Amino acid sequence: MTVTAQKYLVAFLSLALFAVLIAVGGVDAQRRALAAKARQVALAGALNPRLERGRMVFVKYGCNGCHGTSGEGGIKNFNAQTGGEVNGLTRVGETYTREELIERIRNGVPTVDKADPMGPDPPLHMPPYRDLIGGQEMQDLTAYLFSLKPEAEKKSAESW
Amino acid sequence: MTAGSLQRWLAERAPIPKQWLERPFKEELPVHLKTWVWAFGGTPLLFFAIQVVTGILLTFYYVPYPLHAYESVRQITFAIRFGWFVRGIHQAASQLMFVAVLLHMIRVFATRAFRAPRELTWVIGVSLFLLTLGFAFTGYSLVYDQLSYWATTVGTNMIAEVPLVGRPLLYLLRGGPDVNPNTLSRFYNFHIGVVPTLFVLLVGMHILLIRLHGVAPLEGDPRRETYHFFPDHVLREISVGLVALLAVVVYVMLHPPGLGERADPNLTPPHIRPEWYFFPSYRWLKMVPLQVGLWTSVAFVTSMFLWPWIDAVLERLAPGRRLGTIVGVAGWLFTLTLLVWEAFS
Repeated sequence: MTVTAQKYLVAFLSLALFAVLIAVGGVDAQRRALAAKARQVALAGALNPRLERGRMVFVKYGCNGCHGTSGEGGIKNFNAQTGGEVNGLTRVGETYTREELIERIRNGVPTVDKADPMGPDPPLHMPPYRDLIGGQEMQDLTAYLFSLKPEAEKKSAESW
Repeated sequence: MTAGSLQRWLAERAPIPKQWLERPFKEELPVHLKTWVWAFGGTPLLFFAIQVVTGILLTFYYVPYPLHAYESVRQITFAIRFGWFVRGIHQAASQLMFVAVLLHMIRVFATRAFRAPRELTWVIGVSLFLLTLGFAFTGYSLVYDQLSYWATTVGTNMIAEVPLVGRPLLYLLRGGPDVNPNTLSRFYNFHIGVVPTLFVLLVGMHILLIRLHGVAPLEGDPRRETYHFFPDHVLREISVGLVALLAVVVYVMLHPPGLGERADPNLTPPHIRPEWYFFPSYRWLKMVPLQVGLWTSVAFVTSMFLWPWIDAVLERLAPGRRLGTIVGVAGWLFTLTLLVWEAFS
């Protein structure tokens, strides 16, 4: 193949790559539109602005890292009394008053009870958030936590 | 500032002799290189460059901590703009980088370009091949879904069985007796720090030796003509690189990367298998007792390193019979058989 022919080949391949990269932009826009729609459906009717702010506080302080994306729990915490997992938060509305929940967040859970008393300490515990969360953020966070419900109950509520 | 004055300013501050810069472009290459088969040497380097760029972009969002690793990969794949594309390119190009390195090695092996005085270039090449596998193994573990977690666990378990150094090496890799939070940060460190640094150093040495020795002559080719490195050979390398890039981009567009279930140390999935490039050793270790498998694997890798000298001994034993090539091809075919066997089992 002559040098001129090779130059044409390189030019053609470069143009083809450019065209494909433009198509990639289209695919990305399509994917993000689908993801945004899915998020909207998930949030539709569920969150008022206060609960949305609370959810942002939940993510901002990394609560989702241990308690799960939607407070469903399930992150492994070996030998924890709560089934070897970090507990979910979907029942706090049934088990805590607002004041008790605020106290729990402020003080954290420095020692997690063991399932097997002779076994090792569970690796995860909840640090105190006394110096981090307060004021409006605490109000929004507790409102959000009280709004959480187990997945099964959400589904049955949606079916109505 | 005009282009001429800028050039003068640079030449005063960095007085690199002009001929040093011009020499590679004026180089004459033997005419046997003027086929597409010889235009694959630069492809592994191109893929490495792609891995560096996409890898840096991925580190902007990846969190190398067990609690957040999976979630960050999920964000990259499904939420961040072009995240799926960057991750997909990183994943696909890693596989093609392995293929490109292997094709280059097979070409060097088939043309016996490893013979004296180029043994060291071959040895560095084999090291680069192993480092490519190291990239793949450490990178796969970072995804932190079920398959990646358990492939890491099983893969590192093998290391413990290596005599003498197995246990200390396992501790070094895992940061403890089991796969634990330290393991992920260590693998991340190896993947983005140790392995790339070694790779860049060795690639530099590899290219330097190629430049110092010149291109290996082709056995039995009487032609003495030459042709230009630039633009003839460079254009051919660029064409191959562009075709490879197009293939990767189209593949990722049609098959965007997915993500399995979050890693669960308490739940072993029913089918754990490493990535396809580890299939031959995986199948071999399943076929024979573990100690036999490990020792033969060590012997196989050692023979790869020592191949230029083994080939010379075989050549002395049976001159002109190309005994080395026959033994080598048998070895490659055996490896290929194990790969296909595992893939379809």
